[in-house]
Amino acid sequence: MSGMSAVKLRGPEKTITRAMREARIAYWVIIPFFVYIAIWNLLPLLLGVLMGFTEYNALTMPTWVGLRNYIRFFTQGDYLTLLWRQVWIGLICLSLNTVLSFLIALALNIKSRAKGFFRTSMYIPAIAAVSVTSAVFVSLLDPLTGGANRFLAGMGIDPITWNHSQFWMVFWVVVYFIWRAIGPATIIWLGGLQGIDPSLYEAAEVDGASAIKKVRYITLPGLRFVASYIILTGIIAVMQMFDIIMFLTAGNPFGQTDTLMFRIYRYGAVTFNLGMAGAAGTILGIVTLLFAVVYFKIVLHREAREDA
Amino acid sequence: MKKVIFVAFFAVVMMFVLIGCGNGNGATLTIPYIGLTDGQIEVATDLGEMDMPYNRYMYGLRRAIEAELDDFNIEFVDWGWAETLDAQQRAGIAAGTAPDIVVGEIFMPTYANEGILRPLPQDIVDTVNPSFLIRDPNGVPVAVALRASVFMLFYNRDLLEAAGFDSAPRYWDEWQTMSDAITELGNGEFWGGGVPSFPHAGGALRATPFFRQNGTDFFMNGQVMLDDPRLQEALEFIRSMDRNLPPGMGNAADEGPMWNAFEEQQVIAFVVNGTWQATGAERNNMNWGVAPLPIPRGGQEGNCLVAAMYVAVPEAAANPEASFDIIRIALRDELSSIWLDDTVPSPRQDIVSNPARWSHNPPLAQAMEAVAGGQVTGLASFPQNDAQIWEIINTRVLARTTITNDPIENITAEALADINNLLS
Repeated sequence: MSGMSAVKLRGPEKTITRAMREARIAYWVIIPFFVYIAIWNLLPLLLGVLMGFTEYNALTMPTWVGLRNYIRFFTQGDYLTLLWRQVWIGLICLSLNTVLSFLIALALNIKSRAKGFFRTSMYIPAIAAVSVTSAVFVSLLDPLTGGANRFLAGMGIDPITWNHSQFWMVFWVVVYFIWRAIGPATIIWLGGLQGIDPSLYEAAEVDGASAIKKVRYITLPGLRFVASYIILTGIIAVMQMFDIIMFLTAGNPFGQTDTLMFRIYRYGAVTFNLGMAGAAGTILGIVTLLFAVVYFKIVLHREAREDA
Repeated sequence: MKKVIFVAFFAVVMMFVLIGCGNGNGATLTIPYIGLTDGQIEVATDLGEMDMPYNRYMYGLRRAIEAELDDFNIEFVDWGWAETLDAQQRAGIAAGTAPDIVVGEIFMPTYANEGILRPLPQDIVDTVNPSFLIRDPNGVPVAVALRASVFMLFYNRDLLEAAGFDSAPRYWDEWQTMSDAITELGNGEFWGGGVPSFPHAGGALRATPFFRQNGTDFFMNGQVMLDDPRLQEALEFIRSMDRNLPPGMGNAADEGPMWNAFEEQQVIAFVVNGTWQATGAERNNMNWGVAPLPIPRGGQEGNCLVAAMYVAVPEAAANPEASFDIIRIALRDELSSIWLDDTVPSPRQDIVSNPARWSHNPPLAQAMEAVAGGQVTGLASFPQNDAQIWEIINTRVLARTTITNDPIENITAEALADINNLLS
């Protein structure tokens, strides 16, 4: 019996496997990045959402106003018009950029000594500062001395007062957007094109497929995921677009090219209506998320249907 | 174990590195004891430009401050101007690190309305002309302009003479007639000129004198005056004058082309601008002249302060007395009179009331006479959402007036509805 009293009862040994040890190390490595994201992304996001429930101009303490800013967004002023304008201008920019960049990628996907030059040329606008290149565009559009009207005059066409027309200012916003964004999209399309197995084209060649059929049945299905990436990131980009509007049109003529994101920027950094900026920003974020989710669902649905 | 320690160390280092990177430029965070917020720091390091009055003033001010307030560690911070400066100051105020002196122009009435500024000591108030003060809603002076200008009518004598005119217009209808004639003669090569309606504060500032000449303003006695027939009449005048500006120039977001067209290309006969325009005209060897702004028949003199450099001491200032001392230094005669060399009015009442000090300079004399009555103020300010309301006025009233042919009554009624929403 005495021997039995000497027995120590111990719980089961903790067994740490190699995989668990590696996972711990991985967590330690990842933690700083999570902390960084939490501090610099999640916290401002949360504060922005909270601000939407306040009235705040950064001079006096914020006042809690509940849903008032959200109610105003949907019932007063022109916020819905601004949201709609953000969507349709963004849609034009995104669709034209996606199609044109694809066509250019097809054209650049050839064996030629000059292809490096052309690819680089396509990308250069994307690395130039928006503030600088948009200033060039603005000077081109000067009604009196701008290059655009001088060009028209050379063609015998009457000058256009660009900044008096919503149509023309949106036109130039789209041109500028595509000029800047087409390079990166083209490079991504090109990456996708070069990832398609060449033997598929060779097989199609043997079967006598035309160029259009090769694009239809080999190229496009092979670029499905690349297209998803370009369109998803494009949706986010155009729904956040404000710098081009700010530099090129400043919302003119008389607010006809003003967009929700540009308004949010002004409320946040120029006119200090921070409560409304928070509410409008939250709504724009939700709308953007909805667009992205709907598009993602469509892609997944199509994929599932094709797999079936 | 060594591996775990290494990884933990690596993780901590990475966290600090990443947070450090996220801190932007990594500048030292020094809270200023006394901050003079403007681009003025550049002045002291740019002695090559000391012949310019602006720089002489700023450098003299800084030297005096540093000599006389040697008990303080003074940090001069360069926070730009306009929206940039406003944003920086508000960030400081919100974070509890407000500068001891805040500076600004069109947003300073908002600071005053919010009650965040300390009342100016009486000796400062007594030193300056009342035109240069901003008062809080209780009528207490809380900010003072170290300098300010007013608008005038600058003209190109050559273009006037080409059209058979030898003197500046005194009334709106005379100006309209002259400007129409010059535009017609110019036939697309040169223009008569009119009242700019830039879709930003530059437009509102230049349009405001014409409302005041008609006895009204955008906001008076607690009322938005957009439905005032006198204001609508002035808008009609601004619209009819706009056809004498090159297409798209009067309501462009960028002011630059208009001033270039006047001084460099010399293709616009009349511009409405501050007294500094005299310097630009001289620089470009123009045959120029200047006159008070034309007024409507039966109207009154009216103007608006522009390029005002207001300073004030916020309630949150850590050293209010020393800050007021800085303002006293900035208003001393030996410094304040430097502005006269720049054709810019000084706020000192003893200078304003002494024509011997400025009558030799015609544009300055006209500006001084305009402010002497003490009634000229900056833009009107609204009790709340001031900046958003001005945005509506700038774009959907002024710019729309000259861009479209929409009835003025419709333009003002739609804007009034939106403004009332912001005031409700």
